Amino acid sequence: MPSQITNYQCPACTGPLHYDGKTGRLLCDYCGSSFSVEEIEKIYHEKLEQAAEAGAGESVQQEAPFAEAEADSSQTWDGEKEGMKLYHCPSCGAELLMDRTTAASSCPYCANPSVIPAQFEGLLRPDYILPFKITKEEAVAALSKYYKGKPLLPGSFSDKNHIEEIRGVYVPFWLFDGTVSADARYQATRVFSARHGDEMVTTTEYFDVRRRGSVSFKRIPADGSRKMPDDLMDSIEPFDYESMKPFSTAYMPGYIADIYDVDDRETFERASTRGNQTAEQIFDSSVSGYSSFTPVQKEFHMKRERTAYALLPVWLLCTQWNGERFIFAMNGQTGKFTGDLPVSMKKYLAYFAGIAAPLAALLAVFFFL
Amino acid sequence: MKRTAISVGLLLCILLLCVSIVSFAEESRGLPYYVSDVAGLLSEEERSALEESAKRASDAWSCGIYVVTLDDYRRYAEGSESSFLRFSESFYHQYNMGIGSGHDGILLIMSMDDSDYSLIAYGDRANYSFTDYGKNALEKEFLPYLSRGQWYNAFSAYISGCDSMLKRAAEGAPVDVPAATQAGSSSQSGPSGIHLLITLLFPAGISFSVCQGMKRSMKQVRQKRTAEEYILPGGVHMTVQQDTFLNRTVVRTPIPRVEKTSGPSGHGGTSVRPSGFSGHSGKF
Repeated sequence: MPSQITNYQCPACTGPLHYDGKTGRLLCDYCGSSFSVEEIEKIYHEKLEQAAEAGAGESVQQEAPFAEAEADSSQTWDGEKEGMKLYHCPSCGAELLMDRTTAASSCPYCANPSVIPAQFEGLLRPDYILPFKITKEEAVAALSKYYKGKPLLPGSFSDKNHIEEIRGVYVPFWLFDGTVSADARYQATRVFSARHGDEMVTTTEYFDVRRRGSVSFKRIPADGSRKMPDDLMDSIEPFDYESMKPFSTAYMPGYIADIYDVDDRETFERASTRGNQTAEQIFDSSVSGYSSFTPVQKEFHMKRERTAYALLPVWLLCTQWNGERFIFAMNGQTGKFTGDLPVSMKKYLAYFAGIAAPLAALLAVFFFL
Repeated sequence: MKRTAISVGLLLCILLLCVSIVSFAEESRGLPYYVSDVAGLLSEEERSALEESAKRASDAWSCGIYVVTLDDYRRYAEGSESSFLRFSESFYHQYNMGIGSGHDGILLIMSMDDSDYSLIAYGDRANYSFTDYGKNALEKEFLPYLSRGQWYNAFSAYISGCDSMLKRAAEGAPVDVPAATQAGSSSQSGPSGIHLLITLLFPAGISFSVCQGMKRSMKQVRQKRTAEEYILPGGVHMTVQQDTFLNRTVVRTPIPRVEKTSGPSGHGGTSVRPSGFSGHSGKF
C-alpha cells in the first residue's frame, strides 16, 4: 500500500491550513483566509477526481492546491521493521520517520501540518471524529489553573516548571453499544428487637430475593491506543457525542492523529467490565428495606450490539521536574483536565503540625487547666 | 385486806409501767452517745467535745453522726458476721442507731486489734447525703490522722466533714463526682492518662485524615470501574423483582439487672446494698 502524505493547502495562496477549534473552520496561516470543512472536502475530492482522470499522480502534485507526495514504495528501511514508517514531506521534501500508527502530524522542518489518508483506508477508517473545541492557549492556561488550590504542590514545581511538550491528539476510541443481561439472587434478613419485661426479644426474618432484567448502554468509550494510558483517558471522560461528525481528515491539520493498535475485541473486555459492574450496582441497590443482604448467585453478561470507531480530541501536556516526567491530559472538547501531581513532604508535615498542634492545645486547655 | 390487795395491785401496775417505759426508752435510744470510745483512745474532755459537735450536727440535719471504737469487734459479734463490714451493719441495727423513722445515720466504727474501720451510711437521707464519691472524700480527710494515731483530729475531721456534707445535701447538691469527670472515667487518678492520650491522638488523627485528603487530591488519574453516564434513557429493565419470605427466628436474651443507686445513674450517686447500707470497710 502506498504511503502518502497530504498537506492541506490554502486554495488562495497555497499556504498551509490548520483546523481552528474555536471557529470550526480551516484557517490559512499566511493570508488569513478561512474555509469550512465542507468547502475544503469538496475541493479536495474534485482534485482527486481530476487526478484520477488524468491518470497521473505527478500532475496532481503540481496543480492541486494540496500536494501529495508518495513515498518510494521500493525503498526499504530497517526502521519499518521496528514499527516505524518513512514518508516524504510534500512541502519541503524532507524525509519523515513516523510511528506506524501515526495518521496526522506536522513536518519538523517546515512545520506544515500533514495527514496520511492511507492510514484511514478500509477497516481503519473511523466512523466519527469529534473536532477540537479547546485551543492550545486554553490548554496551557488550564494547566496553570490546575496547580491552584493544591496546597501540597511543591513550590518549585509550579515556579520552575516549563511545559516540555504540548500536543493536540486525536486518540482512537472504540465506542460500544450493548445490553447487560442480569440475573441475581440474594439472601436478605430483616431484624427487629423489642423489650418484653426482663427480656430482649430479637426477631430475624429471612427472605429469598430474586432480580432479573437488563441494562442498556450507548457508546461506552475505550481507547484503542497502546501509547495512551487507559486510566488517563478514563479520567477525562465524558465526551459529548452530540458534537461528533462523520469522519473527515479535514479536521486534522494542525493536530496529531493515531490509528488504533488495540482492536475492538480486546477493548470490549474493558467496556463490558464497566457495564457489568454498573448493572450489578443498580441491581444491588434495588434490594432495599432489609437489615442486610448477601448475594447467593450473580450473572451479569454484556452483549455487544454495535461498535463505532471514533477519533476523540485530547490535549497532552508533558512537563519534567526533578528528573521525573509528568503527563497531563485535557478533554479537547469539554476542557476537563487531569494529571497526577507530586507531593511535597515538607508541606505535608507542615500542614500536619499546623492542624494537630492548635487542636492539641485546645484539648489540653479543656482537660488540664 | 381489800385495801391492801388494791394497794399491791396498784404498785404492781406502776412497777410494770416503769419497766416497760425503761425498756422502751432503752430500745428507742440505743447507744447513749454519738461518740462511744470503748477502746479508750480519747480523754473524757476530748470525747465530750466531739460528742457535743456530733450531737449538734446530728440534730441540725436529722441524721446521726456516730463514732464507735472497740478493742476487738469479735467480742461483740454474734458469730454470724463473717466480716467486719457485716458486723458493722449488725451493730448499727443492734444498737438502734439512726434518727427518725428511717434510722438515718452514718457510722465510723473501728476495731483496734486488727486496725479495721468501717464507714457505713443507712437510710434514704444518709445515702443521698453521703455518696460513694463523698464517702471517699471523707476518708481522705480522716484516714491520714488515723494512720498517725491522732484520734481526736481524725474524729474531729470526720464529724466536721459529715456536717458540711449534710449541709450540701440539704441544699440539694450532695458532694458527688464533678460533672466534667462524671461523663468520662470513674476514678480520680485515671482520667489524666486517658486525657493525655486523647489530647495527643485525636488531633493527630484529624490532622492525618485532612492531610491524606489533600494528598489524594494530587492523584486524580484513576481507571473507571463503572459506566453509569452511558446508560440509555429508560435503559434499565427489571423483569423479575421477587422477595419471598422464608422463615423467622426468635432469640430471647435476659436483660441484666442494674444495681439500685440512690443518686444519678452512671459514675455518680451512691451504691446501696440490699441491706440498705452503703459504704465499705478497710484498714487504717
